[in-house]
Amino acid sequence: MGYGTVAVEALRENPVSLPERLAVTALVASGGAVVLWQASGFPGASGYFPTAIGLSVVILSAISAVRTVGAGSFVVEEARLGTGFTGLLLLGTFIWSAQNIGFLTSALWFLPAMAIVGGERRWFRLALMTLGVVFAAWLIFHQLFSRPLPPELILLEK
Amino acid sequence: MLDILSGLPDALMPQSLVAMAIGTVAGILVGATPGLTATLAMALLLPFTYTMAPLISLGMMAGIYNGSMYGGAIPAILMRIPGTPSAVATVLDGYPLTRSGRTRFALHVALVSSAAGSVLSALALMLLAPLLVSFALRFGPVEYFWVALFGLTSVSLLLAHAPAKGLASAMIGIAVGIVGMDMMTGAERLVFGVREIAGGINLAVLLTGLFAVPPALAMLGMMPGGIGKDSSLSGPGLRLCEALSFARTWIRSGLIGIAVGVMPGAGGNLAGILGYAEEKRAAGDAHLFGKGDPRGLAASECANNADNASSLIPTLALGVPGNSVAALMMGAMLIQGLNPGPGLFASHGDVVHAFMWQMMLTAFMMLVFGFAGAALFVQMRRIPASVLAPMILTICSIGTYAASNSMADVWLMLIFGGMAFLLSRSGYPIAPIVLGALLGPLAESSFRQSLLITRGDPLGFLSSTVSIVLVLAICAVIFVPLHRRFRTRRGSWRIEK
Repeated sequence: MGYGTVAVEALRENPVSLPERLAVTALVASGGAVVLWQASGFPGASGYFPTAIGLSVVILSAISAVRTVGAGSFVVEEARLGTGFTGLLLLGTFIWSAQNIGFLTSALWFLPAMAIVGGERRWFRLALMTLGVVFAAWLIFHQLFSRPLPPELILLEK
Repeated sequence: MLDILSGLPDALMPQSLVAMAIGTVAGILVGATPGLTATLAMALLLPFTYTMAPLISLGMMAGIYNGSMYGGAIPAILMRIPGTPSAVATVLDGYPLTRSGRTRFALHVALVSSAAGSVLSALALMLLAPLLVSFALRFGPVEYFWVALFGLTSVSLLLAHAPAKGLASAMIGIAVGIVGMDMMTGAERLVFGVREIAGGINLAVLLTGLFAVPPALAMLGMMPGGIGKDSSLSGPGLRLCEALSFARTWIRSGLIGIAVGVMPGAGGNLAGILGYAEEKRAAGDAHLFGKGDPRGLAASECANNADNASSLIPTLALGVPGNSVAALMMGAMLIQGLNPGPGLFASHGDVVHAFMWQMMLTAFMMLVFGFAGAALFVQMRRIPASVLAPMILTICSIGTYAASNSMADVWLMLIFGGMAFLLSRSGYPIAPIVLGALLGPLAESSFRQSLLITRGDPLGFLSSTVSIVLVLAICAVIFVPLHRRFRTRRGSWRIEK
């Protein structure tokens, strides 16, 4: 995936460490092993493909691990590990929160929190963006599409 | 030919025209925003397409696809930042034109050339896809098994820096694709007791998670604040006689773009670079390239747009998408109950032919909106990435929930997003995962049908010429790069010695 020169420049100091790459390869291999283990319980021809997939993933992961050890470090166009995990954690909290108090209500804290993680510090712009997006989402999903969403605290549906 | 013409009235229906217009404007805006790509925009749109009529969702997708390719040229020309990966070669002559005070001219050249490339590509789609379909109608399960395997191996190997990781990505995708009930035996596979996925993984959820979450996270790592501030449109525009002088460039780079589009695993960035290189090679005054020669800009933009519709030829005719955008297009069709492949032309020929026209008409719309909205589009690069990222994630989450009314799908989107983020960081390509999820079930059902037909005889898998050709093609895709690498290593070893 490429996100343009800006991303590459901004993330230039973002090499992926060997332990991280090996850990991901091990995760992929264990996923393959789980598929292989599950496939042993499938009846007849249902198990052919899953067995082949599980076995292939384990073998390909072993090859990748060997090559990873021999390869040098490389730079990626993805977010830093810490930033990415913070983003995912915030997104997970947002989804959990949306389940309980609604998407629009949760967006009121999620949008500024995420923007702050991204380095945004202009508070007026943040407030404007948050209110604008929440209003637009309400307009699109509630009014235009009439989609049923979880009950919203700010709309006093809870 | 009459069949194709019959699709034009449907494509010209008011709803279809509005959808194409919205898609085209959205595509240009997305492309003009560094960090946003056609893939991301389509992944965002996908959950909303459930409630749309087929031609409305496909019209929007066509507009986004064509529009974003031109949009990517805007920051490339103004700031030397390709808005999309396909605009890499556009920078080479586009930015020098801006520096010499000819910004408006450069944007017009890019726009007209993009439209020319899109029109040529749509023509290729109209002419070549039916030919491929008439050939593919002779395919049985055995041939389909090999076609699916060829699509998987070629894309996985061509997109990955490390072949093992490319193939592993495809295998992960197949595993995701076979989750749920086995249609032949009724057995539940890889469900792990989660009732919400017993019917299989929702394709839109998978695509949104894989293609929208990691780019949004990457934006958090970009520089805060607007990416570009200086956004003046200077100099005179392009005159008609000047535009016509690019005809030869358009034909040359258009054909290159079409050829690259049909090849699995290749993409708009390769088309743009090859188109530019060929134009430079063919020019008698090649020393002018890189210093603001409009032919270089025209070649790059025409070639990367000519890749668009032609990349859908194997998708529509065989059901084998050659890149991630084609895979998303296929996803949108599957959501609508349209199963790409030769059967689609017989069962929903009207929709397919209208869609081909939509690919053509959006090229003209791009021209109109590109000229009319140039001043607006150049402002897109001022939107800070840190503000865009949470917007994208919020829309993905609400859109995913709204599509299926299921919170489990939103959690799944998060899981797929996290998985794509980690895999991407470690060099696993993401597109083969989608391809695996799309082609895996096809490969498996064809394989099992073939086993029944051949009564388990392995030689039955090589009973036709097409099968043998496909097996040879798969071997070539795997072994030619290995052979090249071995020769390179042996050469360097000799030099060291």
